[in-house]
Amino acid sequence: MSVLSLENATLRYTGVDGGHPPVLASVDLSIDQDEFVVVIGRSGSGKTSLLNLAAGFVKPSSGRVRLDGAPVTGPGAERAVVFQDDALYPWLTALDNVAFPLRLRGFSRADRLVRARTLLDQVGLSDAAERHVWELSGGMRQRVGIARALASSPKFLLMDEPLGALDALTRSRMQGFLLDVWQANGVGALLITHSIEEALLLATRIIVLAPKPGRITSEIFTTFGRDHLAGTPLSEIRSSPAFRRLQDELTALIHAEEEGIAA
Amino acid sequence: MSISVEGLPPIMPTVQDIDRQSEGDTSRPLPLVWISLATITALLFLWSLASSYGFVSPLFLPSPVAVYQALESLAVTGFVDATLAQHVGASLLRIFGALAVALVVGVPAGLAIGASRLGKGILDPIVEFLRPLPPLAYLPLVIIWLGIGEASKIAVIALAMLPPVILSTATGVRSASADHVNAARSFGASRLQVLRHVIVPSALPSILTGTRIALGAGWSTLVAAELVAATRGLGFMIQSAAQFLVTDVVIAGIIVIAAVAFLFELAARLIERWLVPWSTRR
Repeated sequence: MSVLSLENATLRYTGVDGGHPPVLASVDLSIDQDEFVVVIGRSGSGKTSLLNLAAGFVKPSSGRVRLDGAPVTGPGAERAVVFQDDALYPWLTALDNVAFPLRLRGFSRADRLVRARTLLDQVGLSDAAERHVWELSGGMRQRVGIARALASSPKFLLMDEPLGALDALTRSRMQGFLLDVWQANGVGALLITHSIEEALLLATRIIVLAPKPGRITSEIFTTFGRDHLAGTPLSEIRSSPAFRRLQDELTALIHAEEEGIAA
Repeated sequence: MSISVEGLPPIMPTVQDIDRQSEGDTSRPLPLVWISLATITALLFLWSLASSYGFVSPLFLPSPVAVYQALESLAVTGFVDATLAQHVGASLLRIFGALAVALVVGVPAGLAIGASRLGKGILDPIVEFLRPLPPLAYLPLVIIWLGIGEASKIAVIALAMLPPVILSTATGVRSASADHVNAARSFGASRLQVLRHVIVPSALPSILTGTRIALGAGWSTLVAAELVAATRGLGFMIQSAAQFLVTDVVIAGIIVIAAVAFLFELAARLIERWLVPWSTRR
C-alpha cells in the first residue's frame, strides 16, 4: 500500500513581499492509499497550496513531499488531479477526454478507447461518450473529470473542491458517487472543501487548516462515509444525532480559530 | 460589414442584439441582411443617379452599367493579355503561397515566443522590428535580394502576413488555461506532450483569427507587390487600367477584390466553426 506524505513542508511565495507569513508552515501529513482525507479550512488557509504540493505543481520551500519514501519532484500519473473547474479539454469528446492520459502513455487508439469506455460506464456516462464537453452539465463534467483522472491508474486522487461549482442537489448526489469511486478503485483520496457537511460525509479523516500561516490545527477521524458504503443512506446519516453533533463541534472549532485570529 | 450567414454569429454584435438579449424580447426585428442589402441598393442608386445626370464625369466615375459591362468584357476577352480568371488566379496563387509560408514560419515562431523565455527573447525584437514597417518600404530590398519574379512578390506578401500570424499564435499560447496544462502534467505529460496536446489546440482559435488578419494584410500588400514586373494579377490589372485611365476596369477590379476578400472571410468563419467549434460555445 502506497503512502503520500508531506514532511515538515513549508511553502513561501517569494518575490513581492518577503515579510508575508508562509502560505503553509511545517505541515506534516501522511495519507495511506486506503484513506479518504478531507482538508477543510477557511479561505487563505492554504488548502489549495497543500494540494498543489501533493500534486507536485509547486515545490516546498523547505521540507519534503514523498511518495512511498521517494521524493516527489513534480507532477506524476500516480497522483491524478481533479479540478474545481473540471479542466476538461473542449476540443475532445467526453470519451477522448477520458482516454487522454492513456494517449500520453502511448496506448493504441483501440486499447485506450476500450479502457475509456469502461471508465465512462463506471461513472454512469456511457451514453455521453461522443458528446462534446460543452454539451454536458456541471455534474456530468465532473464525472468525466474523475473518470479521466482514474484513467491514469493513479494511486492517489487529488481533488480541489470538485463539487464546489455544482448546485446543491447535484452536489449531494455526487458525494455518494465520490465514495463509490473511492471504494471501487482502491485509490487514496485527498479532497479540499469548504463544506463541513461534505467533509464529515466523505472523510475517513478530516484535516483542519488555519490561516496565517497555513497550518494543521486539528485532525478528526470519522466513519460516516464507510457507514454509507455499508448501506446507510446519506439522508439518514445527515440527520443522525451523531452527525449533527460532530457538525456543530467542527463548526465551533473553525469559528473559534477565526476569533482567535481576530483577538 | 455585418452581413450574417445563416447559423453563424454576426461578425460584430450590434447594439440591437445586445438590447434584445438583455430584455428577453422575442419579437423579430428586420433581419440584418435586409438592412445591409437596402444600404447597398441605395448606394447603387445614388451612383447611377450621379453618373446618368452627369454630376460626375465618366472619367472619374463611370456608371454602374459601364462597370458591369467592363466586368463582362474582362471575363470574356480580358484586359492586358489575360482574362479576369487568369488575373484572379495569379493573385490567389500569390496570396495562398504567401499564406503557406507565413503559417509554416509564423506558427512555430509564435509557439516559441509564447511558450519559451528564450524564444521570446530571440524572436520578439525581430517581430517588433518587422511589424510596424509598411511593405512598400522593404519591397525594393526584397526585389534586390530575390529578383523581380514570383519569389519576391510572395516574399513581400508573406512578410506582411508574418507579424499577425506570429503574434496571434503567441497570444493563443498564453491563453492556454493553467488548469488544462496542470491536468496534463498530473497525468504524466512531458513538456513536448503538453505543447502538442494542450498548448497547440488551445492556441488554434487564436491562430485562425491571426490567419484572417493576415489575409487582410495580404490583400493590401498584393497590389503593391504587383506594381513591379508583373504581367498578371488583380493589382497589376488595376494599375495598368489606371495608367490608361480606363476607370471602369479600375472599379471593376476593386469590386472583384472586395468580393474575393469577402468570400475568404465567409470561408474562414466556416472553417473556424468546423475546426474550433468549442471557441464560440464554451
